[in-house]
Amino acid sequence: MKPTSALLAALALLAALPVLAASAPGARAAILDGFAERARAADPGFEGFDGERGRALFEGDWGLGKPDTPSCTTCHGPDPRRAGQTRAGKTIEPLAVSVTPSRFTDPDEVAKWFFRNCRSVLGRECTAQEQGDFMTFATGL
Amino acid sequence: MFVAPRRSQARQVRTPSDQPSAPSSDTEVPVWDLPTRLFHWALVLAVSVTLGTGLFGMPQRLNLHLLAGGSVAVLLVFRLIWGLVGPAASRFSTALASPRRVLDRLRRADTATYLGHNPLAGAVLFGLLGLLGLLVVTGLVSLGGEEQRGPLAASLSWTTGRRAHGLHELLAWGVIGAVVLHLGGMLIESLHLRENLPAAMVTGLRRRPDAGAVELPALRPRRTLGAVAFVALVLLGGAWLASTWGTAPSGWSSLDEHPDQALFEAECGSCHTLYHPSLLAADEWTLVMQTLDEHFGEDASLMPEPAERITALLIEHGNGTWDTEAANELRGQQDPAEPMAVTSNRWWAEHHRDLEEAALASPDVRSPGNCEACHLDAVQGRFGGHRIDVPRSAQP
Ligand code: HEC
Repeated sequence: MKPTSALLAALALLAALPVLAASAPGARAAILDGFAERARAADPGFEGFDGERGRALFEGDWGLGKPDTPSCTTCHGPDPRRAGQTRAGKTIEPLAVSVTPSRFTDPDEVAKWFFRNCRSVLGRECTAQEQGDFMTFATGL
Repeated sequence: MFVAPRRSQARQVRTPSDQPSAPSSDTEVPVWDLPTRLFHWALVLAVSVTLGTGLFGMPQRLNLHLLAGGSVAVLLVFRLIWGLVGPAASRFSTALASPRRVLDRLRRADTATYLGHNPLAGAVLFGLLGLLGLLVVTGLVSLGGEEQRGPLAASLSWTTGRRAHGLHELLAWGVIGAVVLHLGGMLIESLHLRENLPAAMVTGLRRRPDAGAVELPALRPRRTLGAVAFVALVLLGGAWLASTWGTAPSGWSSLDEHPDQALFEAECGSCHTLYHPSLLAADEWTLVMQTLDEHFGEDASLMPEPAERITALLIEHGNGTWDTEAANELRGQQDPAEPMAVTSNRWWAEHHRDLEEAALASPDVRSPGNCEACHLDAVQGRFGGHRIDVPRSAQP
């Protein structure tokens, strides 16, 4: 499957969800439900999301993708509650929902950034399990 | 004939050899009226600032340069009027002499004492005023064409502005030459007449010898007419400036009205400076958009639909459709081995040579591709020299 069509498929799944876009927590719940649904489809033994695994993903020094972006922290910085900076110098608002309430509220944005950031860092797309773990991590901070 | 050195009790006369031996009946007469003197010294100031900023302060001091240059223009308007209706010594008619008489003065065949302008001084006056007038015009053309600012921005091409800029610089050296001639002539005359001529431009008084002076015709200044004409012309010029300043410059595709401008801003501006479409040619943009998964060391993939819309915007508004300074200078200078990186464009590289290292070390800049860290108008694609503000942390 081509990267873009994989992205499309992921998005179609998310879009198919009954999105409770009216409120931020509602939108987040819908996005997380989507990840859970996909994770269960991929692995019948799915046991829910774990913020600690999300932290490990975020802090890990993977170096499996592009040489200049070995880790999520390359751009987001070591603390998700603080702002990061892209390699080209743009400020990235903190990922932690407690600091940036608009995080994980737009399914298209979430899908787009997971898609490309995971490929930059891990050299592959993140699984639904990984995305849900990470989202749980960033939401719980 | 050499006008014999005279003695004088005049305060302003400073001649070391002066001996109060022979009494003099020389009288002091008012020559330069107050408006003319004020004009003269204001022009000295305005021209000094304009030359200083023009020669040493570009591009950062452009706004001060424009202010000083604008003052020169206003002063010229006054002088033009005063040359027509001012007092005798200020009138062009008394300063105007045939080339023959100018030559005579130069060859010292004419050594008379002129209370106003001698033929040579008159020629320098006209030369100086003419040069300054041409400087104002070429400056406005350059500003409008090259910088896409000012009253002519809507009607001039970058190339026209560029040519005018060359002429503007040449004329500036002409003004320096004319000032040197003016000062030299004034010095020679002062020594020759043993009269402090600069002081005469302060007090307005000149010493009239008992005999042999070339008198000024009896012409009264027409102050009311002069004032009305001056105010009217300045108001007219101001109205012209006000009505044309800030109008849409030529060679400016209207990106703001593009339906996908917001999408373009959101998608391309989240990781880096929103690079202006004029920075790359259409085929280079196409390449950028086809290789987003390998985008300068990152995966920057977009969904197919927004990617298509952004590609269309970039092709429609690529380098070839702009007549701005950046678009013109970057055009054709892209390194074929790096068709997508503006930072490998030859013109770009030439203009950022000293900056790169300090910039990379600065947390405010971080990347040579962070245009907007220093160019406050980068996103508009203008890159005006006066809008450069290098963060302190990035200064060498
Ligand atoms: C090359 C720089 C870079 C790297 C590496 C990177 N990100 Fe990001 N990330 C960004 C930028 C830029 C944004 C969007 C900016 C914004 O939304 O404020 C973003 C946004 C996100 C979002 C969107 C959140 C939302 O809904 O607003 C998530 C989730 C995310 N990143 C997760 C990750 C994870 C997980 C990793 C590591 C696997 C990672 N990022 C690595 C640059 C990066």
